[in-house]
Amino acid sequence: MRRTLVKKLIIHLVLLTLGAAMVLPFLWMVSTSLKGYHEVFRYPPRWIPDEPQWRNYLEVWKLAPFGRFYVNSTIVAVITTAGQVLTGVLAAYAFARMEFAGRDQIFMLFLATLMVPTQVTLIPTYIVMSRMGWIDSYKSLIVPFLATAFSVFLLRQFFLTIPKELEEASIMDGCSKLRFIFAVIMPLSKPAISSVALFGFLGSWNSYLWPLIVINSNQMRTLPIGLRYFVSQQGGGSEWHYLMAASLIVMLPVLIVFFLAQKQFIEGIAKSGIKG
Amino acid sequence: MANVRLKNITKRFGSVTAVNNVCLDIPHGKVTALLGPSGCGKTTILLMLAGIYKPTEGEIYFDDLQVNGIPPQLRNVGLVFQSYALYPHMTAFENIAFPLKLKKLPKAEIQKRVEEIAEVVQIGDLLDRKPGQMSGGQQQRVALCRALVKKPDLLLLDEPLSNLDARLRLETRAEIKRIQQELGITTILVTHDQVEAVTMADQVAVLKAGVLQQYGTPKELLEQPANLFVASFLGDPPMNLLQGELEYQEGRCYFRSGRSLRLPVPPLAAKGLQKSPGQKLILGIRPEHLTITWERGRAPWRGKVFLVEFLGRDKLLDFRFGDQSLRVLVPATFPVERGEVLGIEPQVEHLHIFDPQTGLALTGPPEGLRACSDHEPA
Repeated sequence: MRRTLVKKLIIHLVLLTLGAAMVLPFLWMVSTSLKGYHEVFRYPPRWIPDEPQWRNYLEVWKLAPFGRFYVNSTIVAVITTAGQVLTGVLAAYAFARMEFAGRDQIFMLFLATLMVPTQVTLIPTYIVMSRMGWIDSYKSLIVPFLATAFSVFLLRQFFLTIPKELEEASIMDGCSKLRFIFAVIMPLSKPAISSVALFGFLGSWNSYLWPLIVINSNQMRTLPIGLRYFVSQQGGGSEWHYLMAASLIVMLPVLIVFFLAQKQFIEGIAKSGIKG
Repeated sequence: MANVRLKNITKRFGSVTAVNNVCLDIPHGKVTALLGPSGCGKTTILLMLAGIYKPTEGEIYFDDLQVNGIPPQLRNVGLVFQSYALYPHMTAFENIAFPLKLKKLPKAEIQKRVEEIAEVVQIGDLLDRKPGQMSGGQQQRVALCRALVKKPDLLLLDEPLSNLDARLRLETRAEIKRIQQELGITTILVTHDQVEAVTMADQVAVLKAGVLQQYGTPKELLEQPANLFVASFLGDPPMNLLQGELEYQEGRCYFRSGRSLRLPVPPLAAKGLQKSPGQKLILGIRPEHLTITWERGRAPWRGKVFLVEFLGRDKLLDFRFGDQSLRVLVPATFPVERGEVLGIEPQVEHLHIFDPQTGLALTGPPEGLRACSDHEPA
């Protein structure tokens, strides 16, 4: 009894420390976003600003076309996510359930792409985009990310745990393969699909390097690039309070999605890992 | 309704032969059981009938139609899986309605037919539940409904009782039989449990290692097993099998086993045998076909009770002759003590004699349902 109590105490202490380490920068961000220009660098630093500057958030909207960035980011992230789920489900089903020559080899090859760093493919992909004439358009932000090895892998592992009899039953019921995927596999794979969707959404939403390269016009920029408005071009004093306020605005949708879906999100990763 | 005919069906998975040259004529409107130990190919046959597997060789006929190339959804066959394979995210109603929905039937028609079949199977009150909220027996009924709602010509049941507990098994057994009779549907069930096969089926096909051993009514299989495998696989408690040889003395025939067991073989049973002394044989008799007699003089066999097993309604007496044992079934009220010496009288008409080499029965071929005519027994 006592032992388990001590054990629990230690576990929770470790968890709390780690949790604090994760959450402190975020809290510091919130704090900074509410400070005035001069308060940001005051020494010793203070957690609670003397007078919370709520108008920082309004200023941010005025200083940069954030509305436009929001629309851009949303369009790109939503289509990318939907694409990743769709291609992921179809490919994962093929790798998990269909039999064809070289299936496992192709899957291995697919997985191997996970080991190629993004930086390596950056230039070739740019050249492809450029030849297609897609530079500075949504297409260049979306199309290269419509399929990922990660989503295929995660979904395949999950599909493998779905009993084969279900498919045989559906065949007996007169169900086509595609119909089976949409009517049975997908509803049963909600946890895995929500993880894939969340990862896809996060990846697209937070993407910085790629949009920086393929987007030239102000209109087409996404939120992470938009944040650069508050980083001083001369390398001198950035307007940190605005930058932090803007960053919080950028993070907000992700935070909300995670809070709403965290249960399914964790379940999806845990479940697809067990039988992997 | 359909007569189902399997003609020289063979199924290989790579180098493994799961089903080997099986021929069966399955009459319509009856229940047929495919019985055998696990890995005997019975489920493979079922899935070939469903169309999920394709036979490597041979033909399957529904009436006069060769169905080898017909895909499962066009065969009009209902299949209930061992695991039930209900769609976990759908309610019972949605599960049952699924095949009709795929046929694009109008909503009202679907509603009507689901309710109809739910009434027959008596699950009307479960239609709103999801599989996770139902017991195994209830899930099985839903699965049965899903298979029946299409009004199939043929109903296939894969181990229908194996996932149920003992009490529920008894109930479901009767229930399936009732539904089958109510609908008059040709039914084929796969089972490894001989009691299940014998109680539910009108005829039973016994399989071992992909080869058909015998096909007949439960009565025929119990009374005239074609070989040692069928004799030992069916019946509870199992048949006594004694190894020994024939001996002739003063014109009478004896069965000798080891040093301590010497049984006179009744003339009736000895009739079909070659009269060659020293011929090795296996003698089989079921425990219920042995009678205890008090008149020792009259009893052809005598033995000492080694063990008394109480079975509830009956007692099973175990006699030992050397290293061979002979079990006799007596009523539970029968007064007997361990160590008593009793006379045993075999019911002559129930003696079976087998060739130990081939395992085949030597006491006349069983008469009954035959596998299809051009089938050559291996």
